[in-house]
Amino acid sequence: MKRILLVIALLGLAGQTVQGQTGTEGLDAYITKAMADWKVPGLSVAIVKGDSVVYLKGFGVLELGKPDPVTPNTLFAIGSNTKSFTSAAVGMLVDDGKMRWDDKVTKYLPGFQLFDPYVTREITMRDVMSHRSGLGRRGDMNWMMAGYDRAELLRRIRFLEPNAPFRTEMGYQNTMFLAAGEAAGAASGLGWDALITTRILQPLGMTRSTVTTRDLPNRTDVSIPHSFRDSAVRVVPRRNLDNIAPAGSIYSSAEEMTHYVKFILGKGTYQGKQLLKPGSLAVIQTPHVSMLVPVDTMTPSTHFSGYGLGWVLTDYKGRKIAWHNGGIDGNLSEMWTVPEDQLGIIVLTNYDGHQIGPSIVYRILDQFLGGTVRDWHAINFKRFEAARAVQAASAKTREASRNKESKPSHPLDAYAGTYADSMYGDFKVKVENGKLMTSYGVIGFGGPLEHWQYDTFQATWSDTQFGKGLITFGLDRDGKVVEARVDNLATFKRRN
Amino acid sequence: MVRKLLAASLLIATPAVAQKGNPLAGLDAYTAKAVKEWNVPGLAIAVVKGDSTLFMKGYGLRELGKPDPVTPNTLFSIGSNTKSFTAAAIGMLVDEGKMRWDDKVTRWLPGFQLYDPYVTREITMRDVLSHRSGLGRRGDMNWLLAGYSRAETLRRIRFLPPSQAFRTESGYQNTMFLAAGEAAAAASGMSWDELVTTRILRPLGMTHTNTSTKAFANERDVATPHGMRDGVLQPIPWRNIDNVGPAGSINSSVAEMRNYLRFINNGGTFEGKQLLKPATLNVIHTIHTVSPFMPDTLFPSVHFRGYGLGWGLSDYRGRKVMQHSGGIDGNLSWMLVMPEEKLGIMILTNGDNHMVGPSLLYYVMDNLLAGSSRDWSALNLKRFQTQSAAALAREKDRDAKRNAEEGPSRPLSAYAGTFADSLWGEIKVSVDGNRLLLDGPGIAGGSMEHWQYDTFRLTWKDAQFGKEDVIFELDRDGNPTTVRIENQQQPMIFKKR
Repeated sequence: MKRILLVIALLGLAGQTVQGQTGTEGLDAYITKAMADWKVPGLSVAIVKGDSVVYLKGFGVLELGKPDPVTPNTLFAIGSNTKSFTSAAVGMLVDDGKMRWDDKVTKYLPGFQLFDPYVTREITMRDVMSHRSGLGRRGDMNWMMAGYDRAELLRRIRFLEPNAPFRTEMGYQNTMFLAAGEAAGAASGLGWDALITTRILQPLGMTRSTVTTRDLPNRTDVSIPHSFRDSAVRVVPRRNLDNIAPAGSIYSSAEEMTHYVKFILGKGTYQGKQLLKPGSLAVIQTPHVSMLVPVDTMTPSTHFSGYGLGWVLTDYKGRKIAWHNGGIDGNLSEMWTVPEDQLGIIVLTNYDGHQIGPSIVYRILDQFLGGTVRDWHAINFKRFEAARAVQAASAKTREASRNKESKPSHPLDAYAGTYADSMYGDFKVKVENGKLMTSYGVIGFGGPLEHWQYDTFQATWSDTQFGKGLITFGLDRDGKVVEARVDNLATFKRRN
Repeated sequence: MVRKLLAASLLIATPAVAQKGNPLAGLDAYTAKAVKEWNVPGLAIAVVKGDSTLFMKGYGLRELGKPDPVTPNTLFSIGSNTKSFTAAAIGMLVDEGKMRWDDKVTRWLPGFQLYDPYVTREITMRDVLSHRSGLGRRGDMNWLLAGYSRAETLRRIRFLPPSQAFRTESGYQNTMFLAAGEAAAAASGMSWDELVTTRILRPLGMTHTNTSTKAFANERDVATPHGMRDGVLQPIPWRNIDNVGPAGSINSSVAEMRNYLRFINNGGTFEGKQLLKPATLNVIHTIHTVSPFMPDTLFPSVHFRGYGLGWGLSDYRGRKVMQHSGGIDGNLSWMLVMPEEKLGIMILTNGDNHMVGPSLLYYVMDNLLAGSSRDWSALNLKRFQTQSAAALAREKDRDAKRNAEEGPSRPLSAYAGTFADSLWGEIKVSVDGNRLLLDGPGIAGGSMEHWQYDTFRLTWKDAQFGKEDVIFELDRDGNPTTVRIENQQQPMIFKKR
């Protein structure tokens, strides 16, 4: 299982190089070098300064092995950068008097329920848009693997036990953003998709951007997602995110994202037209949950870090920074703004196995804000390679410690059956051609199992994003197989 | 009612005073000017950088009308600056494995209870140390006026309904700091006073610093508090606040507070000895409650504000700033640390109606960081005077609208009786000629003259609390069954027994 929507990787770094330039000098070569090192097929970068776009460029190709180049108009998944569109739309409804930031979510979604009745009663729009629900970064398998629809995702989330006290820490929660979007959809009477399209995309002239992959067949210049598979960068299927859309479904281009960034830097005004009140944007860009800032010698000028409503907020070199990133199968994106300097940076890529985004962003920040300009790419690349080596080593260690001589406790058909969980649904196991075969959810997720050791089997998932995973079957005192513990998913109890 | 244990107030300022060479060369003259401008009886200030003292001096008098000067060793109340001592003491217990930041308060105080059962069950040490309980800045009359003991103050707090959603906003809560201190006492097996004394004051060599005004009997260089009474600045009695000690009862001098600032500046280490782990101090200095950000053109370089554990946190000129203020009858104090600069500033005063503190803090920071400063004292004074004039005008306006001819509805004797509230306790109302007398727990008492309708104006016996409106509400039979004291912090409502 790999990364899902977003990473919020605070990066730390070391070393230093080039001194005190301003602007975009040397940027082309820096990006080209970084792309080659990271093996990124294609990306586009935009820099907004004040009212002007001072840098806008595509690099590489839409799809490996094909000649079509990435252009500033190429569409990419922006992933979790969608979240600030959702909070901006809610802000517009607040401006209209149709919602309030402190409205309870249940005002708009009366059936909305969470594990703890107090939290169900108290949770507000602010809470669901700031990752402080206490549910942590969990529940994503329901929209990714199981493929439940929006209503079913929201119904099932009540079974997810909190893993942190309410409103104490940041626990990245995509399903809560879905709740926010659905609440806004209800309050506006439009549904989230039409709300975003009519209140944000259209007024900003983002005509090629869309809230769903279903529109992509009608678009040209669309990038193809790539991931690292079997030791190489390869094309992977595009994931439809309609069921979690308010948390991450938007597709856009670097050029059109400059419109959005100008709207944000313009405190809610775009081309003279106010779409969002500055006071509402100020709420959106105020921390609602605070994060501990570790001592990092590479960013000594960072003192605070927190999450607003769809934005990560921090300070760097004496300025406030509002940023976010996004990641979904085969795409990683970055959006950064420095309001005082009227600086905005967009990086969109069609590959998800790299850290080129922050490397480019920090380089640009250093060049525009002054002070030391570090070779962030070299630093990040070194760190990334080291992390990948550690990962490979731990996989090897695991393989080496496997007891291949051990046997399952029972013949295969004893493991067949339906295993259930209130949150995650049914996980089915059957015997097919002498092998165990699994199926889960409503979009055909599953895969064959190979014996690993004892009562543990290894699944090769049909969705390659998830690679391989281990499933351990548990026996009761009579030796009956009663549960299936699926790594990174859930423990399912046998129903029959 | 005047300000009590007080918190970080935002301030203001403008033009510039240039400096050359020693950036604090003008500080002496500037402090003297500010003390004069604000009519502060006495003040002491210390500025430390790393382990060295850049500046330290006393100004004015310990007591108006007497000759004794304020010195760097003069003891003042540090008020709410006590809160970071409580947080640091708990941090030391965390370092030892005796407590955890996420411990439920009820782990240490099993009888601790708040209005909402969920909050009672969930509230942690972090919550009570960061003003996010949801109770808001209320309940202070119980320790201040009623004078209940620590245990009784904590018992009664369960009757205070929350005014904010749990863990959403900052609501300055002294009684929660009392809970934190008492929890630490339970975890350490000694009183909060002993804990702070043995773990912080002694190791830092703060030998004259104490946790109770009772210790003044053994001290010679003690400031006398001053307040405005009948329009005249004059000495007023010390208030003993042992019953809310962990929130504000420490008394110290700038000479000794230097050592505390050095301990903070050095990441929990003092003279080579580590008293608190740096990572623990980092938790204390991390925002737990974010303050809504209000842009002020005088502070364009401030982007974040929030409350850690006993510290107000913000950024200023690209640096992190940790600060707090303290205020209790006749004393105001300010403490500031800028860790990257290893800068610490302590200001103690024996007046409670001024903004000398913030004026000097920003003067020092600006001169050290930028080589010049606005005349913050003049700027603050102007704003202060404008606000005071507005408050006075509002009061006059109310007086002018008084309709004394109306009411009371009943003869005075009908208002007499015993009224009670589970949070506040019991008050007795009796008749004294053409006035009503109020008598409550502790020093809660005073006399009431008819104002208008069924509202009386109460003059508290303790002049610190000034005057307040008291409304008697009549039931359908015309009997005054509810007494409502319009306290500035929150209405205090009593029902007839």
